[in-house]
Amino acid sequence: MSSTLSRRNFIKSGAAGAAFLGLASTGMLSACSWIEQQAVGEEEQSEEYTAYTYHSVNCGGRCSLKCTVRDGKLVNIEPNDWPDSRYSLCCLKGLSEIERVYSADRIQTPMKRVGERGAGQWEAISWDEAIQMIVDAADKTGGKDSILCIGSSGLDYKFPSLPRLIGAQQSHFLAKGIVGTGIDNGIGNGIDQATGDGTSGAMQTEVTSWVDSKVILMFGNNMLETGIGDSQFFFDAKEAGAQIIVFDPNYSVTAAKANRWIPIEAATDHAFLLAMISLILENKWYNEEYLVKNTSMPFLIDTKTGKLLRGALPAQTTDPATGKPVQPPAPFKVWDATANAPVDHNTAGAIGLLEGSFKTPDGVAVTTVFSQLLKTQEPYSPEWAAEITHVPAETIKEITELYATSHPALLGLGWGGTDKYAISDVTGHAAIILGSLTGNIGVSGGGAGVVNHHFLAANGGLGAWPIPAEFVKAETKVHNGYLPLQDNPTKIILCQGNGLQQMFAWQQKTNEWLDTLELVVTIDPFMTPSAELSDLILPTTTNFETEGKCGTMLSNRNHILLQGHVLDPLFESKSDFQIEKELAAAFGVDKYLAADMAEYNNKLLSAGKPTVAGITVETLLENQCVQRAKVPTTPAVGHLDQKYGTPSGKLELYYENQIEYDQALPTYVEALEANANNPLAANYPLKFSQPHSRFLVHSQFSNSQWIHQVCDGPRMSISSADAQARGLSTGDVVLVRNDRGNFKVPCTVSESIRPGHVIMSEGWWPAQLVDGSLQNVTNNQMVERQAKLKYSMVIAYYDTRVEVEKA
Amino acid sequence: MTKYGMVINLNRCIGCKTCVVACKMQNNVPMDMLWNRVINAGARSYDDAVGSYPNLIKQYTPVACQHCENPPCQAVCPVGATHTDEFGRVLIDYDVCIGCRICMAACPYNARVFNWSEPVRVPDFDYGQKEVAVRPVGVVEKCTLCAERTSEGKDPMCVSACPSRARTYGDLDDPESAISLLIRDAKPEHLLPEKGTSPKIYYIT
Repeated sequence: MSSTLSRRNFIKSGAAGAAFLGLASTGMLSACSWIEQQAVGEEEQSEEYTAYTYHSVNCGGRCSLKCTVRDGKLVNIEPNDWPDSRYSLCCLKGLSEIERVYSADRIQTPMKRVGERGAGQWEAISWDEAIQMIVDAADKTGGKDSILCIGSSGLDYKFPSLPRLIGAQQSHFLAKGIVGTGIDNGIGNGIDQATGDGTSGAMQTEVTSWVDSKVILMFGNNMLETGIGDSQFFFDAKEAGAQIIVFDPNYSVTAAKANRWIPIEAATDHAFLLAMISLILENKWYNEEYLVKNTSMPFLIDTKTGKLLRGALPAQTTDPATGKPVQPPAPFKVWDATANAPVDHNTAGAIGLLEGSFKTPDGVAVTTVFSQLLKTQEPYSPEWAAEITHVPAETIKEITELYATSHPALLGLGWGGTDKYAISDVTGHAAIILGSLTGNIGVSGGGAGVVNHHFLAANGGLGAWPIPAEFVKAETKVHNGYLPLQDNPTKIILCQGNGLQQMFAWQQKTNEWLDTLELVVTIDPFMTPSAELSDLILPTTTNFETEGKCGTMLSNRNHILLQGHVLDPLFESKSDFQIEKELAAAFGVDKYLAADMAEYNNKLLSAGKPTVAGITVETLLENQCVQRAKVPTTPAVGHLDQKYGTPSGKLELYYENQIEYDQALPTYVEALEANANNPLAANYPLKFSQPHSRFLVHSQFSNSQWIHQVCDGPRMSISSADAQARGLSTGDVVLVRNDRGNFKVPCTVSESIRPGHVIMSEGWWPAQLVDGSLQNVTNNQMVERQAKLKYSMVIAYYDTRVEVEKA
Repeated sequence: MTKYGMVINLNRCIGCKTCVVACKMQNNVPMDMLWNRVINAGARSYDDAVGSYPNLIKQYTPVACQHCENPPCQAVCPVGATHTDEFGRVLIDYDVCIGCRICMAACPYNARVFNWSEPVRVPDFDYGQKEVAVRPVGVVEKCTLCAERTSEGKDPMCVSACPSRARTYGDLDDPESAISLLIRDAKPEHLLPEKGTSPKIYYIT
C-alpha cells in the first residue's frame, strides 16, 4: 500500500504531537451526507493519525485520551499514556464520544427561534447575525449587569474574560456570597469555614492516600458509579485493609463493594454524625492534644452573646506585593492555666484549657468552644439518632468506636448525595468537627470532606489571563437559584451548556422567568433542553475539535492536560474561546484577549505556580498532551503542617455567623420535605432523590446512542414494597407528581431501593422521558441561614416529596 | 508455547460497562450487537440486587468468549470456521463461516452474535482498529481477545480500559507471568465449570 503524506496532514499530526502512522486508506468512505458537508479536503482523506485530548465533562475523571483519526474522522479512543500510569484510564462515557461527536443532535449553525419558546422552530442564521443579535439586545437593556453569564460544570472555558470586560454578572459555584449557583456548595458551607479552604468541602487528602486509611466512612457517596476514575483506589484501600463502611438509603454499587453497608433514612446523615460526636465526647475518644494545638476548641465564648472573645487588634503590616497596609485579624482568647486568665491564643507558650467556664477580670462569663460543644451535644444520644436514622443505636456505637479508635480514619460525603438536601451545611459542619476531634485533618489517609479528586493535588497551579483591574464583574444581588423568583437586573442570559435545565429547580418557574427576558442564548455543541428553551443558539465545539493546534488546558491529578488538535471544528461550530473573542470584538474589548488558545494557555502556565514551571503548550504537544507537574510523588495531603487559611490559622469549628440560627455549633434541624414530619408526607409519601449514574455526567450523554446501547434510559426505581402497593411492575409508565408539577417515565422495581424512597438519575433530557421534565417536581426552596455561609444557599434538589402512580 | 488468557477479579468489577463499550469500538461492532456484556446474575434488572431489602447481594460479571480449551462451538462447527489458533485463541474464519449458527446454540456462555442483516453503525463509518476485519452479513462473530491489539504487544482493549483494574491478561504457559502468579495465588474459578469447557478466562470471586 502506498502512502501519500500531504503537507497539511503532516503539519496537523505533528502539531498534535502525533505518532504518525501514515498508512493508506482501506477505502472506507462515509455515506453520511451531513458528515461529508464539513469534510476537510478530499485529497487528504486517506490517512490515519494519532492525536490527544482530554475529557472534561465533570465527573472528576478528566481522563487524557489517545485518539485515532482515519479518513478525517474520529475512529478510536484509548486511555492516553500518563507519566503516572495509574491514571491511564477512561470510562464508557469517554469512549462513547466516538459517536456523540457526530451526534444528530449537534447544532450545526447559529439558529434563532422563530416559533413559541420550546416549540423547536428555528431559522439558521450567520455568525455575524447571531453576534449582532446579542449586541442589539445589550444596547436595548443597557448591557452591564443586565447580562448574566452562566457556565455549566465541566466547561474548562467558562468565558474567563468577557464578563469582566463588559461588566456582566457571572455565576460560579465557588463564588463567594450571593452569586454562587447553589450547586455542590452545601457541604462546603459546613466545612470550609473551619478549614479556610476554597474547595467547597473537598476532602483534604488525595484518594491515592487511602491505602493508609484504617477506616473509611462514606455518607451519600456512590463513587464507584460517579467517580469511576477513582475506583481503583477504593479497591487498593480495601485490599490494604481499610474497613470501608457506606451509608446510603439505597444499595448502591459502592455499598455493595464496601465491607459494610448501613441502610439509613435519607436526609438524616447529620443526625448520625451528631450522635457520633456525642459518643466521642462521652467516651473521651477525642485527641485532646490535637484539639488544643490545632483547633478553636479552646477559644473562649462570651456566654451571654455567643461571640468569641477577641484581643486587641495588632499593628498593621504592609503587603510586600502591593505595598498597601494590611490589618491582621484580632487574636482570639484562650484560658491560660498558668496565668489563670484569658490570653491571646497566639501568645508564645500559652496553652489554652480545652474545657471549662470562667469569669474574666472584666467580669464576663466565658466558656470554651469545647465546653459549649459538650452542652449543645447533650440531646444527641445514639438512641435519639436511631429514631431518626433508623440505624440501631448499637450499630451507631459500634461504628463510632471503630472510627474514633482507628487512626487514620476518613469521613467522606457526597456532592451528588448528602449535598443536595437543605441540611447539608449542618452535615458538613458535624463532619469537620468529627475529623478534628479525632485528629484526622492534615493526616495521610485521614480527612473529612467530599469524596472527590479533582480539587486536590497540584490543581490550581495555573495562573489566570490578565485583565486590567478597572474591569470588574457586576455584583449579583439575588442568589442564582432565586433568579426566577425575585426581582433582579438580568435581561440577557449567555448560557454555556445545559444550565437552564440543570442549574435551577422547578422547571416551570424557570420557563416563566425566561419569558420575561430580552434574550436567552445557549452556547452548546448539542440541542440540549437549555438550547430548546433559548431564543438564540450558538454551536460550539466538543473537546475533540480545535481551531488551532490546541484548545483548553487544565491541571488535574498532579498533571497538566492539554486538548490537542484532534479534529477541525465540525459544521459551523466555534470553540468557546473563539466565541468569547467574537463577542468581545463586537463589544469593542477584544484587544484584552489572547490571539489564540496557545497564547492563552502559555500565559496561564507562565503566570502559574512553580509546580508548572517549564511546562508550555509546546512541551505538552511533544509529550502527548500530558505532563506531570513538579510535585512530590507521594499522595497530596492538605494541611500536613496544621496550618489553615482561617483568621487564627487553626481549624475554626465555631461559626459566629450562625449564632442567630443556633448553628454556631451544629444542631439538629429537619430537612425541608425529606423529613418524616413534613405534612406533605400524607399526599406525597415518597422521598425522591436524583443521584448520578455511571451512564451520564449530569445531563451529558443523555443523547448518546452508544450509552443507550448499554442502559435502559431514564427509569424511576421504586422498592418492591412501594411498587406492590401501587400495582406497578417493571416497565410500567408512571406519573410522578407533587404540587409543583409532574412527569412520566417508565419504572423499574428494585430491591436496591429503600421503601419510602424513589430514585431516578438526574440529567435525563425531557426528550427521553415519556412526558415532562424531571425538574418539574424538584424543590427550589432554600434556607436563609446558609446565605451567611461561605458559598451561600444550596439548591435542595433531593429535598423533594412525590407520589408515583401508574400513568 | 504461548497461551493467552485473562483473569477478571469480580471483587473489583463495578459494573461500569467500560469494557463493553471499549470492545464495541475496538472491534467495529455494529449497533444492537455486543461481543462483551456485563450481567448482574440473579437480579431482575441491572441495578437491582439479589435478596430482600436490606439483605442484598450485587455481583457484576463481565462475559465474553471464554476461549475454552474444549470449545463446544468448535466441536460442532460443520465447516471448520471456528478454530483455535497457535496462541490458544478461539477464532472464527469469516470467509468459511456459513452462518448455520449451530455454534451459537452450543456455546454455554451465549458469547456469540450473528449478523442477521446489513450492519448499522452510528456513526455510519467503520471505527476501531483498522486491521480488524469487517464482517459480512450472515456470519457469526465474537471476542477475539483483541487479536489485532495483542499482536502489537498491547493488552486487549477491555483490559487497557478497565478503570477499576479488574482484569489481568497474559501468557498462561509462562509460569512467571503476572497472570500465572495470580491464578496460583488467588485460585480463580471458571464460569460454568460443570460444562467441562475449561476456559482460558478465569474469575476471582
